[in-house]
Amino acid sequence: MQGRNPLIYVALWLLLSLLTLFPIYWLFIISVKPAVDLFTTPSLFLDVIYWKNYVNVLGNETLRGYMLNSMIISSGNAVLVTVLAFMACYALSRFDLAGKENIFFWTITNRMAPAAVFLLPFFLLFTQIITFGDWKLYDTKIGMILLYCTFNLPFAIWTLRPTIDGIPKELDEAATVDGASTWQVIYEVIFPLARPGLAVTLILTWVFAWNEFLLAATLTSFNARTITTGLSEYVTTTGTEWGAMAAIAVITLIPALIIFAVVQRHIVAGLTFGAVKE
Amino acid sequence: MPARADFWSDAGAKYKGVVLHGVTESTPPSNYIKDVLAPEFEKKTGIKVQIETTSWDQMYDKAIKDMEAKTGIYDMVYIEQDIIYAYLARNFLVDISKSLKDDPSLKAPEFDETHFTTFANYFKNAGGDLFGIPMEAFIKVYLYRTDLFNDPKVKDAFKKETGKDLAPAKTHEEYTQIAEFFTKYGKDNGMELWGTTAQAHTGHPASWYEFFESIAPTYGVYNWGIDAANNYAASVENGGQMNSDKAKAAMKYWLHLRDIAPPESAASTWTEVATTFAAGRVAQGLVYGENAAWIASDAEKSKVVGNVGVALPPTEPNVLKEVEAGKGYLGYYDGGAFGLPVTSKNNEAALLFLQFIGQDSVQADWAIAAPRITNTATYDDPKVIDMDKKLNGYYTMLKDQGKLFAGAPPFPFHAQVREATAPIFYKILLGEVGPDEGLDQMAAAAEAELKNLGYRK
Repeated sequence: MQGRNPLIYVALWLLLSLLTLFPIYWLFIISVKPAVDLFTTPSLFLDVIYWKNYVNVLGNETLRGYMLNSMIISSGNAVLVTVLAFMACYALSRFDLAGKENIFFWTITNRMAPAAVFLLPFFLLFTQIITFGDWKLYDTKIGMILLYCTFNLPFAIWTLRPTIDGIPKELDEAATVDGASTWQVIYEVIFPLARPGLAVTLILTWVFAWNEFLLAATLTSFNARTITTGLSEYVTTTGTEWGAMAAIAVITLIPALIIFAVVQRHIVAGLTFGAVKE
Repeated sequence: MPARADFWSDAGAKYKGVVLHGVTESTPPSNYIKDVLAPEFEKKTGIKVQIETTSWDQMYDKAIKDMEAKTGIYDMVYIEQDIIYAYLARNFLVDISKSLKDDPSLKAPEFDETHFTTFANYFKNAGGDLFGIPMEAFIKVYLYRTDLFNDPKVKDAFKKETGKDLAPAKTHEEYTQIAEFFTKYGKDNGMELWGTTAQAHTGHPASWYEFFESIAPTYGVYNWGIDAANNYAASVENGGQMNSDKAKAAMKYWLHLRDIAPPESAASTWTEVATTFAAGRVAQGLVYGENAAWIASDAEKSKVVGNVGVALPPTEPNVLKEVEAGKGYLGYYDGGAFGLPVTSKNNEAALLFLQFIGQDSVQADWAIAAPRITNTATYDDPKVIDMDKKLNGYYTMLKDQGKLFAGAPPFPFHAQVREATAPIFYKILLGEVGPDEGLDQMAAAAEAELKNLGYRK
């Protein structure tokens, strides 16, 4: 660093920030342009801001329903996955399980095939196999919450394990000596220390579920349809409604941005926690 | 049978609590069903209708999965006239005519199959029974910019350059000349203007369809060049037309247009050509009629409102006469219907809804909201006549000359043959194979696939 002009670093960071933020800026530009201007010469700047895309999207009751569904499904899935992953990682870290490394590796195999491979089996499971009378998992929020565990849980286990492994076992032992039960150790010792890792797991899982399209498009219809699948309504034979789609995309970015902003420091801590063992 | 004061409430009473589910493509006519007709039907009958609108590929994916797996999710599915033969071959659909004959108590007094335009014929089986209630019907027309075609400065320039008066083209030669003129005119004058659209995506079926539905027939090559009556021959060698001289001439004509069309044409499907036209980037083009209304009248989406002329697609000399004599067609009659899957768990209630959307009384407002006409009486409605003026006679053309257009050939193997030949077609577009050689290869690939499917013996 010594002898280098700090302005170069500032300029570099500015350039990187611009490159990173440009797609979002461009998305916003599309969302506030009338359709008629989208296919003429593109401009980086706006003469007039056209809010009607947002008014139409936010005024659409069906879309608001999709948004609520997405919120419920991704939040439900994130919480469930984080809890299960926390338990799994604790077991893998602290108990002397036979073949635990194999188990750990096996969990990730669920993510090795593309989601499309699972579509038909899940469709049959949801419509014909897991049924209780007339009730089916198809087109239900609970079905989608459980479904996303298939893909998010392995990821969460792999994300969270370094965090749990990074918490010294001596702390468990000390708590046990002081009379704590296993659940007390988990809740009062491990959980507070693992918070940054849990936050990362929770958020990334939430984002994955929030953004998922393929499975939701096939396994939901009326009651559990998510906002990403709602976007496909704007791809029509009379034109793709880019403005409305961009407006929805901007709106869907907002919850994720808020959550990231709130827990940003946990994310940084969580991503580095356990990376270096002392 | 005693006359009923209110058929719908009486008929609906039996199905109280039933919720009908339908899946359809997100189009203006479908959205009208979802937003207007379904709530009206619920009000009259007490039967709730939920319509899922989605993209074209998702719509088929969901409907076919449901019917194949017999899950009974949907009570109505959207069917295009190019897939109905495949559905009929697999016994996916309820025979609507027969069902209403078998149970007259379900027959709505206002519903009459004979009130549909001839487009309904695409949804009938060989015996004439109806398997889908038509809900969309458009023709792919030749749109041109009246402001440009009537501009004295442009007319003078055209006359000076070609020695001819500028008017909508009737032949391919005229069309090419006009297209070349406007592309040059745009370039010379620093305008974002080209002479023609081209639905020439290099990796999407839309380009394949543009060639076989819209271009090849205007050269006298019908039904994709496949002769079903002659052992499904596709190649000239075996009696087909897919690689005939006419088909090769059509391909070269279209490739030339593609080369002088706006740069986005190589990535344009049926929607983008409409957007290109609406953005005022072309002087003329072949555009699906479902887009004609918004291009001509929706100022929020179109820069050419009030300046859209409608004409028949240009043809080779004699082809129009051939078509008028009933020996072929000169463009695409596109559209869809609502069918009732045999796997539906609410067949009877769904039959009521299908009749509801097929009545004459709901058609006029529907035609105003979306440019589609499926019942003959709709043309005479004052509201529709008024709309026709705004569309420069599009509805009149549909009424009077719709017979010159045709839907998809009655083949149950649409997707298979398209997919077998499309890779070669895209190679032609990419210049990796010449048009003559490419069409020869496509004809051979089509015959091989037809043999593989058991059609060609």
